[in-house]
Amino acid sequence: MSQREGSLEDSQDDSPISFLPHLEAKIRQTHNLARLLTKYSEQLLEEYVQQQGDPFGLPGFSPPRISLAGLSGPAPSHAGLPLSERLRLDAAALGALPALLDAVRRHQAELNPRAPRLLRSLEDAARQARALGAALETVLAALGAAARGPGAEPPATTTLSTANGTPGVFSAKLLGLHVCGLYGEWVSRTEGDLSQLVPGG
Amino acid sequence: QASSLKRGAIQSLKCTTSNMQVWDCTWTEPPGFSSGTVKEVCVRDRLRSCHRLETTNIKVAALSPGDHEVTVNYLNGFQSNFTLNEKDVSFIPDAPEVLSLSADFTTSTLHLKWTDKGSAFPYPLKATWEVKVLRHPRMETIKLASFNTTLNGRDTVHQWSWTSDLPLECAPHSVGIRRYINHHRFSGTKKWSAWSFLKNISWTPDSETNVFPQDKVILAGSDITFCCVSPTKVLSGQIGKTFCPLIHLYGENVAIRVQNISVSENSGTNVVFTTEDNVYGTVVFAGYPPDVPQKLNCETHDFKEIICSWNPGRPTGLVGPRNTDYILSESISGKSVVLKRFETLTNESCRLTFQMLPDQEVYNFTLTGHNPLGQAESVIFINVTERVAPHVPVSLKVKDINSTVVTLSWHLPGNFATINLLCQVEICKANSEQEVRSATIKGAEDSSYLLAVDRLNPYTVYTFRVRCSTETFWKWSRWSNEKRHLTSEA
Repeated sequence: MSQREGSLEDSQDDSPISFLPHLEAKIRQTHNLARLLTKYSEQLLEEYVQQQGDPFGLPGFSPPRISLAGLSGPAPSHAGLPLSERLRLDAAALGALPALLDAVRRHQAELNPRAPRLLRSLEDAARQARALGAALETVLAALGAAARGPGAEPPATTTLSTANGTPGVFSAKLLGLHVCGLYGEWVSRTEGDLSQLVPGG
Repeated sequence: QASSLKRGAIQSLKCTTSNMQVWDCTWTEPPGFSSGTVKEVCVRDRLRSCHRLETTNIKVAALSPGDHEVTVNYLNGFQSNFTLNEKDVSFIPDAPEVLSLSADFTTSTLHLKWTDKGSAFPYPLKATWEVKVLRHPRMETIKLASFNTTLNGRDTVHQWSWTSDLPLECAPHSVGIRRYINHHRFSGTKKWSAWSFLKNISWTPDSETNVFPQDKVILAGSDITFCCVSPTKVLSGQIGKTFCPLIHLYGENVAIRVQNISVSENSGTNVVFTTEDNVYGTVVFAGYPPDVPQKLNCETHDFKEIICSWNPGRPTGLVGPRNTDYILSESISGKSVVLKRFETLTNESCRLTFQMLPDQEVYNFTLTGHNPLGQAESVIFINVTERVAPHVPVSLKVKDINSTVVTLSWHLPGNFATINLLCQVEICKANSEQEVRSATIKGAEDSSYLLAVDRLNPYTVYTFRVRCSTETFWKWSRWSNEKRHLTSEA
């Protein structure tokens, strides 16, 4: 059986796809990165919560989701979408996250200037999200499933604001919490989606 | 009530004046006369003046002190007369005129401006003002303030400010003012004016900010009220992890009262109101004003820069944009330098560098620390020539002159051309005593210095090191690195 550059678009069913060795290695590498970042994102969320003060982190405190300009969480229907579509959505989210994470870092740098570890974690997360997004784009391109047409260029910088632009430190704390949560969700979502590409994954 | 009134005639005569110029009298028609009956009212003062009226109200020029006969002649021949005296008149000033009512929502402060209409009285008079603040919707009086001024014949604008404990965003407020003028020359009754028209203040929601005050910085230990403007029922209100009893304002708006607030964490203390499906919150930063900068010291290492260092003292609990900024100002030159938002941890000394000024030896420094809760300062007056703590001498070298004399040379950064240096050489002979010799050396600019050391033993290992100060001693530099040297054979 000759090995060919597998294409996501052809295979709609779950039949195993076989890739060229270098592509398989790239997929495996990207999957491993996603798995690693999933763990880091949990640590980031914990660190973030710790630095915001009570009631953040307390059992009774569960603020509702916030409509965030630029990004929302994976839709419940995400799992039912074709793999290529899911990966494209993952890539788009990973493209939006760095600017949001950086905005959270800038706010925290003002609010918690004496929390260097949190600030470093946020900086790392932005860089890592960018790296994972780029790796995923590469995989998608190699599979001929990249997003059609030039994707919206993620904003170089963004400000932390909800759809209705509520100022205030508390709102910014909530937004930061939400962004860290989204980061974790999309990274773990990406890991799950990539695992279906990893042979024997 | 006018005295000596003919029983059964004019009844319940009331006279008032608001400006001491005009008396405004009203009465009720005697039995049998309907209102609107035409009559002639004559008043005897220096002259006798008569007025034809249909109403039972007459405005007459203020009468001179003493009794004045007033006659009321009806067309049917019925006549009534009575005497009128200043004592029978009530002085009720006009209600004050409010010029403006404004609110500073960030500080929850109302500012009321009004004119005292002093021009109505040509001579100084003591006036007492009363201001009331009402809170909607129950229009309960939550503040009643009273204070005195002097009317000085001119219309003077006054201002009164009041800081509400409840954020002004959370309930509309109305303000009214009235006055009482203690007219010492007036023998009649003096009464309060009517209240001015109420002026209203309310918050126009500009976004979905629901909790107030937003991001306030307050003194640790103070009391504060937080309020929540909520579209739906608020189930709980908490500060940090502590739940507080809800104070109902109106509609679904509620408040919590926090007493003796403790110092906040760096990211502030969260205040959260929870409804069925949402949380609303704010952050309060409770801390302290800057402490007086302690152990303020200013010295120079090189006669180019003056380094001032100090200990910030008690931590303020405030960081980031709320942290303490320091400004070091020098009064003789008028120059200053600023240290913005140092984030070093507490009890570490801070420092600022001030460029020395040519031809100025004496410096009068004021170091001021400022944060949102206040400021504190320390002062220090120095003569810089007496505050030299040279850098550590470097590049120490030893050169034989002969078997008992060597020359030491070292480099000392700094512009010491205008002063004399005092340097010490430590001479250690292996397994033997240690000797220190001092020497005064003419200073120079960023220069190397030479010093001859004699009375050494030939062919002996010595260890040398050097430190310097100035003739007007302040501090030694640190010792230079050591230099081992074997003197030449004799």
